[in-house]
Amino acid sequence: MQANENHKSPVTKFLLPLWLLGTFAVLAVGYRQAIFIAPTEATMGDIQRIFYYHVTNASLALVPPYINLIASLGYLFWRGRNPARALAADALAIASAEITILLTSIGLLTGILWARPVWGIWWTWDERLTTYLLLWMLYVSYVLVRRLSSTGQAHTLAAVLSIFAAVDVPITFMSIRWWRTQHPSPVFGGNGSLDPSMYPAVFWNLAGWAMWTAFLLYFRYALERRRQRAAASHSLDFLGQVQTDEY
Amino acid sequence: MNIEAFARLHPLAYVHVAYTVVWGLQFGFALWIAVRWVREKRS
Repeated sequence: MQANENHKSPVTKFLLPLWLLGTFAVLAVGYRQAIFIAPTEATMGDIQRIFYYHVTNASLALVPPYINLIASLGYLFWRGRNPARALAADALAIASAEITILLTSIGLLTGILWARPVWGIWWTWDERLTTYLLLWMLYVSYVLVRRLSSTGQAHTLAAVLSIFAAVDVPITFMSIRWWRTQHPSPVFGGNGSLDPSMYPAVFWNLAGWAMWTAFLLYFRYALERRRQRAAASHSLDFLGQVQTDEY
Repeated sequence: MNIEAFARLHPLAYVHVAYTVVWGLQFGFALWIAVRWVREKRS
C-alpha cells in the first residue's frame, strides 16, 4: 500500500497559502512603516531606514543556528537508534544551516551598505562584525562539508561542527555588550537609543521577515525530505534490479 | 560613481538599493528551492 504522491495535506492546501498571504501583507505594512511612517533620524537622515531591514534580518539570523544545533544533536542521538527520525533531524539541520547563511549574508551586506555612507568605511574588524562574519563562515563550511566530503560520514561530521558553530551565536549577540565596538550598542532595552516612534517599523518588519523565514524553513525542509525519499526509492529500485539480475 | 555622494544626494534611492538586496536574496533563495523542488519531482 502506497501513499498518493499527489495528495496534498491540509497544511500545504490551506495553511501555507494563508500563511504566505499574511506574510506579504505584514511585509507590505513593514515597508510602508519603514519608508513612509517612521520619522527621519536626526543625524543619519533617510539612510537610517536601512536599519529596519538590517536589524530585523541580522537578528533573525541568530535563531536558525539553534534549530540547527538541536536538529544536529537529534541526528547524532537517533542515527544508531531510529534512522527515520535521524533523517528528519538531518533534513531540518541542513534547512536551518542554509537559512542561517541567507540571513547572515543579508546582515553583512546591508551592514556594509549602511556603514559606507555613515562611517565612511565598508568594513572594520570590530568584535560584532568579526564574530558575525565568523558565524557566516562557520555555516558556509557546514554546508561545504556536507556537499564535498566523500567519506560517507559527512552528515555526522557536519553535525559535530554545528555544535561548535552554535557557540559563536551568544558571543556575537553579547559582543556589543561586552566590548566597545564601532557597531552601535543595543537599541532596545534599558539604555536603548531607539526613539519609540520607530518601534512600529521595527516590529512589523521583524514579524514579516520572521514569518517569511518560517515559510522558507518549512519549504527547504520539505525539499530535503523529498530528496531523501527519492534517494531511498532509487536505492530500493537498484537493489531490486540487482536481485533480478542475480536470480 | 562616488557612493557616498550618491547616498547623500539620493538617500531614499540608496535605501532602496539595500532593500532590493534583501528582497533579491530572500526571494531568490525561495526560487532556488522551488526550482530544485520541481527538478526533484521530475527525476
